[in-house]
Amino acid sequence: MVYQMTRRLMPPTLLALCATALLATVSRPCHAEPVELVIWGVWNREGWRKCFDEFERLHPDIKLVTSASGGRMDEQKLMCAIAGGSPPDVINQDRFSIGGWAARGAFLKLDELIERDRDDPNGIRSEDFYKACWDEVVYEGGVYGVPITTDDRALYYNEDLLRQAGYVDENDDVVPPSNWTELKEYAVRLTERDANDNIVRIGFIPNYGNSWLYMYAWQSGGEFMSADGRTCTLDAPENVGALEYVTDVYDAIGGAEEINGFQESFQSGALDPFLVGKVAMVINGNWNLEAIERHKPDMRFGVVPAPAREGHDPITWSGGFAWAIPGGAAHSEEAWEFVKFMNSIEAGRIDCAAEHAYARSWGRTYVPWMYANERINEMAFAEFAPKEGRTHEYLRLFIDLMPHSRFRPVTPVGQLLWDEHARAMEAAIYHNLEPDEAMTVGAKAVQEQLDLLYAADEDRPVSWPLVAFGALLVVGVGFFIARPHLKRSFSASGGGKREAVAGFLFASPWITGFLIFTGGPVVVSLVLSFCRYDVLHAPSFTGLANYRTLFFDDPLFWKSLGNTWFMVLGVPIGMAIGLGVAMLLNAAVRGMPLYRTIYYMPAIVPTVASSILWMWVLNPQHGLINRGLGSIGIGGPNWLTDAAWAKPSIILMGLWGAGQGMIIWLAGLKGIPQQLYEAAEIDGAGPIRRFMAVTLPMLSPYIFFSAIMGTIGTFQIFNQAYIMTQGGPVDSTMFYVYYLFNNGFRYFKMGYASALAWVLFWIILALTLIQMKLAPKWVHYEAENP
Amino acid sequence: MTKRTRDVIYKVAMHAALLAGGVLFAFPFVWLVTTTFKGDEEVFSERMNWIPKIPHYSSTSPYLDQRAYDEMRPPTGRDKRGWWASEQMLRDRLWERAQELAPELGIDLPPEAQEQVARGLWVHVRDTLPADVTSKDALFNAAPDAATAEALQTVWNRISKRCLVGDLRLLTAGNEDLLTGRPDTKWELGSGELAADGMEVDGETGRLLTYEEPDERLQLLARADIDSDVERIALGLHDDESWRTVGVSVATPEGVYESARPFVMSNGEWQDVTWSFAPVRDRRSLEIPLVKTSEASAGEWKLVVDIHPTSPWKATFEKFIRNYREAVRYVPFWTFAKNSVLLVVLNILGQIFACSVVAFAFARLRWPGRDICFVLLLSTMMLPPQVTMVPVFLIVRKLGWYNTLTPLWMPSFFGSAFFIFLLRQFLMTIPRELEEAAKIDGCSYWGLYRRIMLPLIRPALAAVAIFQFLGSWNDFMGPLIYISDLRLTPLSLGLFQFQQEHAAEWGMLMAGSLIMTLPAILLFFFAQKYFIQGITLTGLKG
Repeated sequence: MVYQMTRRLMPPTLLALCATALLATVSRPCHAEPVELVIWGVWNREGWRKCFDEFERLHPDIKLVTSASGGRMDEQKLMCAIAGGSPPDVINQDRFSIGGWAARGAFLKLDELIERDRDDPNGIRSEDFYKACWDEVVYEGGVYGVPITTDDRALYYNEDLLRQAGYVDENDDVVPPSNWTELKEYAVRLTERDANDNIVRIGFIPNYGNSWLYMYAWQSGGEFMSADGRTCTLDAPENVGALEYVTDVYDAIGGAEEINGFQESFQSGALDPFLVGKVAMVINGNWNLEAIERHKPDMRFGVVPAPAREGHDPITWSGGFAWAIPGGAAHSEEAWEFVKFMNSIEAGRIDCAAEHAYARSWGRTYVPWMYANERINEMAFAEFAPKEGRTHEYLRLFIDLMPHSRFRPVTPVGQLLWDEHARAMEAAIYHNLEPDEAMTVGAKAVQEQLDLLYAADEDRPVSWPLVAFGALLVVGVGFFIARPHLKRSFSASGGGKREAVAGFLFASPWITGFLIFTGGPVVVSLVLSFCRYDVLHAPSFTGLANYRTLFFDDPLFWKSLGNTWFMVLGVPIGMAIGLGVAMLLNAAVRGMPLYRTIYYMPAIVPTVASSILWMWVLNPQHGLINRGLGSIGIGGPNWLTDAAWAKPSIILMGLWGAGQGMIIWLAGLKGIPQQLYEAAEIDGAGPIRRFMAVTLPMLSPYIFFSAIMGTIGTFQIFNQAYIMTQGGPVDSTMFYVYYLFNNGFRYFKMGYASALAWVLFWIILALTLIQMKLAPKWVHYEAENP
Repeated sequence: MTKRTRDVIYKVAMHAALLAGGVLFAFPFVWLVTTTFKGDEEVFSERMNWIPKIPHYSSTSPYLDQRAYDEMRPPTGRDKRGWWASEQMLRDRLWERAQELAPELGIDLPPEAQEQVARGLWVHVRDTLPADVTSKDALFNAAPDAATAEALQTVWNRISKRCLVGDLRLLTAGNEDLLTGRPDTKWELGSGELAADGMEVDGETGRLLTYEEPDERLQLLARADIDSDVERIALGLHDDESWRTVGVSVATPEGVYESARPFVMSNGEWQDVTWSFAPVRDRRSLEIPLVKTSEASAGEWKLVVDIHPTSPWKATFEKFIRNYREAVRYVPFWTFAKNSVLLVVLNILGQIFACSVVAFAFARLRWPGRDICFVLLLSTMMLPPQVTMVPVFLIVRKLGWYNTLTPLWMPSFFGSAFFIFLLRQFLMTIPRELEEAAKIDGCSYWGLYRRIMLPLIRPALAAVAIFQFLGSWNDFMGPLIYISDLRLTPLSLGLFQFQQEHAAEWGMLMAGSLIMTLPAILLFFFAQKYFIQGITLTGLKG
């Protein structure tokens, strides 16, 4: 009897097991003869493809396997790969982040290789590189990457507009601003408003283009880190002074709120605000030359070093990328060969020639990017850049500025420093904090992290066998306590033992999956929440430290929780609209399949497309919504750039995807037996009464489902912040899980992120349990157990 | 009011409501579709244009582009009142000025160019006007004065569309041009007319090509006496933006080669059109491959460039599919699509099977620990996946699944909490009586699941299939972490990477998105009848 039954129940379990077994054979990696050199973060660049071809031709024993991902924005991928011991052989990494990775031992120290191959014609020699580029890959004396590209920044100005405003000398040549005072004066004078006092043109926006506070701080002699790298000096007087200047300029031209609203209407490409004269001056990088050459080759503009504070020399700052070899790369020797090749003049020439041909094939003028290697850069300029004209002249200026270039400090907390500097700037220009307060807050956050890193407290490694033993013990004790209950359900009425065995077997796929993929990681993350853990090193037990910081010492924790809570309020609205739409689509009229498809479409459009679309719909000036509102005389808000409106905007976007929930509602509505309605109608119930007495109770299982899933999903809202807002403005869309993500993958604080996750877990669990406790009062199941 | 009238009113009201909502829900999609038909300059135009431009069709070349410049806008920041009245005046003044300037540039301005020349000059003049020009009269005087010869030249270059043939180069693998210093190559023409002397446009020199349709196709012929290995043929060409297609055929001593795909004259700028004998390994390359079509050996090199005739329809078609063509060519589309389809099919199969089985256990069977397990099931969704990502990755790697598709579909065969919960809710709505009846008939639990429950929850299973389809079709985070091999990349990751690199090329990006979206829409359209059909439990209750 039992045997027979088990046989019938075999299929589900067996299938799951078979599938697992099958995999082992399918997924075996194949080994080809030549070495496969794995390269990540490779840009889709004609020039590089040609270089790779040439490299493979020169090294027939090496095959390059390139992947676009793994570079910038893909922190999770690199972190997982390194933690899992399967890093790529070479990675194209933002130089700015190299300090953070190097400090955690993620990248190979290249000094020995460099020394060994000094006399190799393709050898890497520090003197070939611009100092700002080379120093950015050096962390505590070791070299962790080989710079590839660079950039620097200067002031672009629109000659026509300056001339129109009378900024000309006796020779009728346009005179650009030469210091901070003049810059501010020009900014105000060149800002124009229409009869309704709306901005039509701005002279200069301090943080538009690419300057950041770094530019102004360095211009006034500031530093962000002490020389030994142990102290964050974000709140040094020079930096505060720089922020005061930035705030001052914002205020002078109309205030951050208005400026950022105007800025939101900016577009790119041919409609770049500088190109169309909406912005008269902008601090931007050398890359902008190409954009102008491409979209408005006849524009009359000028470039000068960005005006500095009185009494200071003009400077600029650089960023760029570097090749790095992850520690534990399988083929570091071949990787080094590749890096050396890519840094040769020969490769540079191949790169330029191919890019030149590519640009030509599109009918564009080729403006080479700036190479971090000075020799390649000069070659590219001499052989491939336009031979005359503005682009030639200004590219030369950008190159000549390189020796005066600064770079962001190489520190394990580089990303945090950047985020905090941006946060401080935002807080100051919106007048939420005074400049000095804002900088003090930022400096404190960075300093805390630095202190933690350099704290000499001993490692207290986690004993994983002990954890496993503990977990088993907890499960065992649980069983022991629940034993009487289990016994009772075995001998309960009905199927009894047979039904119990069947239940287990039917649930076995999920139970198996839970045991393999979920249970372990969940326990691990719980343990990690009591540890200091950067993913790249073994965790170290710190007791309740993470939780203490989180509750008592982290304003962003509370802020992000509040933001997320606000979003949860949108859940019932979304449910109501989804149900309303579903009822509309449940009507018996012609063409319904088409209507349903249309209503469902917003839920299908890939995020990539819909995020662009929403940016455009919510655009304060040209956006569809504000134009609509404007036509009936209502001035719409600045939506995504307004701290008060950013969250409602995201809720609005969510409503528009109501079609997703509609499917479930429709399936539920269709499941309501028609006789119930007929019976109600015979009893004289009107439409409203029928809805309340039949539809709602019959739908209650789905309402329950939507409520629970809506709450869980909304508490974990992440994509909108990750893709569209990056937490801004003024942290108004800093959602809990986005903050958690930043901690785990950008600040290397996975232990802290785990603590955040577990706090969230308990909050959601509590809410869910409350909902489940209340459920029997209103959820109506046909198959309710007696 | 009769029942009939009531019905009609109901139906009309329903349709009205549905249509109104439909507009709201469909507009993003409409925008998506129209954007795929647009060129860069349309996407980024200041005015919103819903309808993509139909390309200008001209049967002759050169021709004047009457749509190059939009209407004249008033100067920035100045009063807009009365602008429309002064516009006509201003246009005449600017045209007069243009006629003055034209002779020194050697431009022969035809009268039909008036509108465009005036608008173009205005664009150049508008922002250079001195600040004190506020009155109408001052504007009429100042504007023509501010128009320079340089500006006129730019305007003229933009509105006069012409085809210029520049240098032909036969390049070796080492980028050496075999034709340098060999004046013996010369163009011959099948029809049309090629100017004997070169003219300079945008800093490069080429010979003006004049032609007229309807005619048979236009052929340019070049002969050369070459003995080394040629890898690529590059032709400098300034096209006339007529959306005509260009093909080549090359007769060589080794055989006859033809271009694998056409080149479309859509740019209006100087460009190097390159055809390559070497196999173009990378699909993303702009080089057009040459395919051998015949073994017939020619004594000398002969290159024939065919400019095919066009029609308004053909030109429009070429313009509208351009973004799609580029998007599909840009990525190894079919490889990506194959991976996507494989993932989607396996995931749906896995979820439907595993989730229905498990949900049956949770909804219809009593077993010890069920309620605890259910809470556990819900709990797994409450912990943000970001913190379990690294441990899960380690497990996947231990299992040897890294850089394979396996971790992207295998978990489906263990069921996902969301779908299990959803199906459980559905199963809970099925009356007990049904089950009791089956049990009395001696049905096993498997039979109960397979023959009673499964058919009843078909609508829900259809919903699961659609959700899962969208989930794995659009998921890029999973592939991003587990896949580093182009051969295993699905479309979603391809699109994500494409977006990271080409954020500004909306036309292409939207074409890619649309290709991603269409299968989902079709699936929904055809699958909806399954989850709409409803559960018919006649006479069981009430």
